Amino acid sequence: MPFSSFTLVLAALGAGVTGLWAGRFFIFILHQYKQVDRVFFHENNGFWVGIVMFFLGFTLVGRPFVFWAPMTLAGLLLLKHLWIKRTA
Amino acid sequence: MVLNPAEPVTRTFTLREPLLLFLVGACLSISQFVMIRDFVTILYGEEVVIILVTAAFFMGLSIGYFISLKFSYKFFHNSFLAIVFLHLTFPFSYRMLAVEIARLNLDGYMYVVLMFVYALIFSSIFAVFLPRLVHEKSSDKESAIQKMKVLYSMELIGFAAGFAIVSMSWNKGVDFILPIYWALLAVIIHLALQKKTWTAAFVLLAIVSSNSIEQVDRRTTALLYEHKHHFHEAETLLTINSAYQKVEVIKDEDGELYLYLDGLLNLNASDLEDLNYYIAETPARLIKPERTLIIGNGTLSSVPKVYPHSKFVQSVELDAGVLLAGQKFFTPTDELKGLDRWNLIVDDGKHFLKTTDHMFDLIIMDIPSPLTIQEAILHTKEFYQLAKSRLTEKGVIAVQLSGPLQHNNRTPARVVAALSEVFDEVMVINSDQADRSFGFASRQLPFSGADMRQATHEYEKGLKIIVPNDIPSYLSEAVPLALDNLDLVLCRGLDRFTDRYFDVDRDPCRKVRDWTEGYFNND
Repeated sequence: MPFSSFTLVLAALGAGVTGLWAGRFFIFILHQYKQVDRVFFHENNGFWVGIVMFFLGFTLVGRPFVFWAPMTLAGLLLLKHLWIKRTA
Repeated sequence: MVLNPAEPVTRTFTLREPLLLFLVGACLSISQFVMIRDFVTILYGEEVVIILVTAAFFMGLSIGYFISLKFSYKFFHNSFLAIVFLHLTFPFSYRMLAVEIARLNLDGYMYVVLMFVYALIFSSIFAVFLPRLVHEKSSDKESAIQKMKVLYSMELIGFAAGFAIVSMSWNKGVDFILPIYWALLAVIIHLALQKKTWTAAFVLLAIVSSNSIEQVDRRTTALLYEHKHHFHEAETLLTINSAYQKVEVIKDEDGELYLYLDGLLNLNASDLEDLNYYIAETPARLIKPERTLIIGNGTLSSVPKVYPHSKFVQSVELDAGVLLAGQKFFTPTDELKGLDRWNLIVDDGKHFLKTTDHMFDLIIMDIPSPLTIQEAILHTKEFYQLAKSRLTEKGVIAVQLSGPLQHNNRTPARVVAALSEVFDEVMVINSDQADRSFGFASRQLPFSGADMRQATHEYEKGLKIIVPNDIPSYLSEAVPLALDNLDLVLCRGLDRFTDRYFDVDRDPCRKVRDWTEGYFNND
C-alpha cells in the first residue's frame, strides 16, 4: 500500500487538509498576539526546531517517534486551543 | 512607495501588494534551493549537514520576522537595496569565501559563521515584507487579519510557483535558474521601492552578470575542489543540481575523473574498476543469473561487466542527474549500445522492488554509504527483507560495505548484522585493493569460499574471505541497521562533521554513551 499511486493521492489530500487547518489556525492565533511579526516568528521557530527534532527523533527512535510526536503536538495544540477559548 | 506608511492607498497599490508577496514567495523558494544545495556541497552532504544548513536558513527567516517591525522605512530601504544587490553575487561570493577559509587554513568554525551570516542575508530580507505590509495601514485588528489572509495566501502561492521553477532547473546548472531569480528580484525592487533608477541599475548588472554565470560557476567550483578537497589542479566538467543532490564531475591534473554528490566523493574512475569487479562482475560470473537487478550505479559502469554473464539485466537508478553524469563521463553511450537484454528504469529502489512482478537471481546494491536517511534505509533489515522477497531460492544480494568489516559497531559491521538477520548465509570479502569489504547474502549461497577464491585469485592475491560460519564472530558488538535504529546517520554524520571542522577526533555519540555509562556506574 505505501507504494501504490492511490496512496500518494490520499497522502496529498491528507497534506492539503492538514494545511487548511494550519492556515485557519494562523487567523485564529492572530487574535492572541498584538503584532503579526510575533506569529510568524514563533511559527517559523517551530518549523526549524521541528526539522531538527524530526531528524533526531527519527534517527534515534524511528517510526514510533514519527507516529507519536505529531499526535502529542496535536493533542497539546487542542488543549491550548480549548484553554484560549475558555479564557477569551 | 510600498512599505512606506506615508503612501496613500490606491487601486494600483492594493494590486501591487499581493503581486509583491507572490514574488517574494517565489524568490524565497528559489533562494532556499540555491543556498541549501550550495552550502551543503561546501560543507559536504551528510544528513547532519543538510539539517544544519536548512535550520540556518529558517533561523535567518526567524530573525527577519523578529526585526521586521523594529526599524524605520529608511533603514529598510537601504538594507533591502544592499542585500538585493548582494544577491547578484550568490552563490559565487560565499563559495569564494569558503575557498579563502580553506586557503588560509582558518578555523573550521569560520565555515559555520559564514553559513549563518549568508543565511541571514539570503532569507531574512524576504521575511520582512509580510509583517510590514500587514501591519502598516491596518487601522484595526480585523483589517490586519483580512490583509494577512490575502497576502499570506499570495506568498504561499508564490512559494509553490518558485518550487515549480526550481523543478524546471533540475539537472541543469545554476546558469538556468539565476537569471530567472534575478528577473523576479528586479520586479520586487520595482514594486517595493518604485525607483526606476535602482531597478534599471539592477537589471543592467544582472544582464552583464548573466553572460558569465556558467564560467564563474565552473571556476569557483574548481577552486573549491583545489583548496577545500586538496586537488592540485581541478577542472569542473559538470556541475548540476538534480532533484536530489548537487552532481559534480571534476577532473584532476592527471586526467582522472571524480564524481561528487553534494560535495561527497561518490567514486573516481580507478575505484570504479575495483568496485564493479567485486560487487557486480564476480557474483555474476559465479552465479550466471537469469535475471540481474542493479539498484543504484548511476554511472551504469557495472552494466557491461554483468551483461555477458546474465540473460537479462535490469538497472534501477533514482537520480537522472547521476545518470547524465555517468553517460557523459564514465560509461560512454557506445559501451551500452546493442545491449538488448538490458533495461533502465528511473525509479526508487524500494518502489521498484515493491511493485515488480519479477524474481531475480542477483541483486546488486551499488549505492552510497549510509550518511543520509534515505541512503541508510537501503541498508536496513527491512529493506533486505523486501529484497529477499524478490530473490529466487538461491538468489544473492551483493552489497558494498563502505569500509573493511571489523569486530566493532561501525558501518560495515552494522550492515552485515542487518543482512545476517534476514538471510541464512552471509559471506564477506575484504579487498585491500578496493579499500572496502563486500557482502553477499542469500537463503543458500550458490558459491563457496573456495569458489570465490578461485574466481578472484588472479585479480587480487591477498583477498580476505570470511565464510558464513565465521561471520557471527564479527558481529558481537554490531547492532543491525533498522528503520527504528538509524542512529548511525546521526552519529557517523556528527563524527565526520566535528572531526572535519572542529578537530574533535572522537565520535560524539560514543562520548555521550561513555559519559552516561560512567554516570550510572558511579551511582
